Amino acid sequence: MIVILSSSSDFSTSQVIDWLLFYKAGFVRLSDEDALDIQISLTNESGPSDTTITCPGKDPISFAAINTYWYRRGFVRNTYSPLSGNNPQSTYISRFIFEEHQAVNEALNALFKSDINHLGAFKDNFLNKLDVLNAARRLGLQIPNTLVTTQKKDIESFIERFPKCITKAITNGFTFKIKETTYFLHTIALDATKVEGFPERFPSILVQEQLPKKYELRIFFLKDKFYSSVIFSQNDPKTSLDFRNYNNEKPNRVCPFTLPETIEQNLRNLMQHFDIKTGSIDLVVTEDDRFVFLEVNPIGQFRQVSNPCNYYLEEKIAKTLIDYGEKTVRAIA
Amino acid sequence: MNETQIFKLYACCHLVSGSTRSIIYDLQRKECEFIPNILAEIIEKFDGIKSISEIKQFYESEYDDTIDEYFSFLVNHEFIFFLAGSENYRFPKIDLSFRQPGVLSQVTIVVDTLFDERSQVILAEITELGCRDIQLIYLTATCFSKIASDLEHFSQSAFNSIEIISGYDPTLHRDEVIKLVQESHRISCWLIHSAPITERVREQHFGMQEIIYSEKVYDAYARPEFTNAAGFKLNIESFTESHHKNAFYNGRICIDKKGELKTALFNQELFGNITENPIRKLLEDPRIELLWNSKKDNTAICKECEFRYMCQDNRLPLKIDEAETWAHQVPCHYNPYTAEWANEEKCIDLVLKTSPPRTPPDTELPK
Repeated sequence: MIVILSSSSDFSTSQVIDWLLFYKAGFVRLSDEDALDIQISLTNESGPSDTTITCPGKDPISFAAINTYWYRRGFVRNTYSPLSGNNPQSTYISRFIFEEHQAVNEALNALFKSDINHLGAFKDNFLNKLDVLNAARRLGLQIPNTLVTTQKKDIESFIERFPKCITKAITNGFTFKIKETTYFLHTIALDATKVEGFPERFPSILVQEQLPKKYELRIFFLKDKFYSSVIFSQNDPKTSLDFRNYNNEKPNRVCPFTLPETIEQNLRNLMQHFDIKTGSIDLVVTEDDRFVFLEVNPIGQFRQVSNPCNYYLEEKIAKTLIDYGEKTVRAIA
Repeated sequence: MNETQIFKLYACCHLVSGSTRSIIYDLQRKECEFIPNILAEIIEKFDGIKSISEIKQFYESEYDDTIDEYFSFLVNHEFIFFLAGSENYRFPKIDLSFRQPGVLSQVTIVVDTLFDERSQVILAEITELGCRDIQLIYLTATCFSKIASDLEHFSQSAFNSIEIISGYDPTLHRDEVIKLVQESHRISCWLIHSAPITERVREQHFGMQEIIYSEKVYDAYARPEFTNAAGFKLNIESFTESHHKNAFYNGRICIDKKGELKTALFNQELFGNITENPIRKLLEDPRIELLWNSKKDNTAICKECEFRYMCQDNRLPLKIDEAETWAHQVPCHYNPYTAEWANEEKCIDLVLKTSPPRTPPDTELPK
């Protein structure tokens, strides 16, 4: 059986499931909305651990019945409600309970990983952008010149070298909704004038040179293969800094793209380095035709690559999961 | 305009040539523009190979103004971009294969006592066959509670969209209809016909959902005729499907009130009763697959029409020889040899988001 963990609203997951149904593959979809009971039993008996996941109202899923695991996104929700009240201790205890639960999530994924063929992993959520940039640089990929600092003077001297810069979150940023408005962090342009108004010291921020783009690439990586799309975001001032500032009236042109072989190989090495089997990769091709690596998002959306390029990635993911299931060989003591 | 670099058609823009003119299908922006066949030929011949100045040279500078006009048109509509010759390999064409995770894509059900008795079985069967879009037709005025209770069958289902067609019932209050649509996100459209008013209700919170009140009497057994291009579909799914299948009939079936399986409610031919055989079994009838595969490229006249990959022609084609050649007995309202609609309405604009159509002059260039 294939176990899928995904957020309940992820439409791409539903599309992959349509293909699993078509190929008559057994699966169970778990979402962050399900209140799941997890039982992990570790004993001195040999063989795989005895782990059971129970979704109330459904049959328990025994670890032994699972042969493929797809971590798409989200996490297994804590069934225990956080403590309420103004008691100052409750904040610390709630935090502790959350962290304990987080550890169970990690353990669950580690157990899946050790014995079952899997696509994606919970740990991929914690990929560090700077760590990835450094590895990319060392593996021969070009990256944008980058600075992380807490001091104004550092940014000033960086901007002297690279007069046009951008700043973006080091993590995945945040999204929140107040009334009907959704707020999320975008990439913002930075120049000497803006920096003038900064205080001398501030929390860590990431600054990168702004690359003169010819076009952007959004690449989906699945099991050694790259499915690339090119986004002509430069034609539109609205999207030239960040293509996620979608222009719905006149969307950016998105077409299939063939990567040069050397870039593919470098990217493959990078994915191997971080043990990532699937994810979305962002690159920029500069006006002087350099391929510059920006970031990897292991849980990124792939529909905007799959649909305009007619790649049928949803079917390819389903087939990969089925193929993994057939290849799972359990350690029998 | 960039005269010296090679021009390239964006892969999401496709040239489709007809007998008298061509269309650029912009599958991404879901728009299209007419172009003269000569421009389509120039694009096809030199795409990714020559720059504008090289094309001018090719025609010995005799048509420079026309070429400038053509290429300004292509640039203004963002149909083309410019690149260095060494970059050409990076921009492959879109693979036009068509895949669907199931045998059925859309099922129409005439809701009557048979459906009331067998809804669970029917829905389970068509779900297993991959159907995600369903159309429910109520032939008579239907009370609200009946429709509401029918919708409960879908609350835990795999269906993505439900289209409802029902007759007007005075007890069916507008607010209740809105509330029901609001609560069931699967309802994509609810047509209430024979109503005292004609109104399109699209509440802000509906998203893509809509309710249509229509004064017209809806005859479920009459074939809706295409008298203009309003019903055409311009997107990558329909475009790729049309290259391999009959875009209207492929994956589509209808179950009438007695349980007879048809290819469409308005067609006469019956393919067996669902109370006697499972739907999967009935679909094994070779006539169904044959119809689903009757693509426009194999259909007389249609294959010379520039609309052939967006057309949703619901006429039943007739197989005319042992090879996969098809023809229609009922004439189409559009004549691709004169580029005119029979009713002279010139409703072409309806399919074009940009109006009026800006067609570059049709100058004869030497081939």
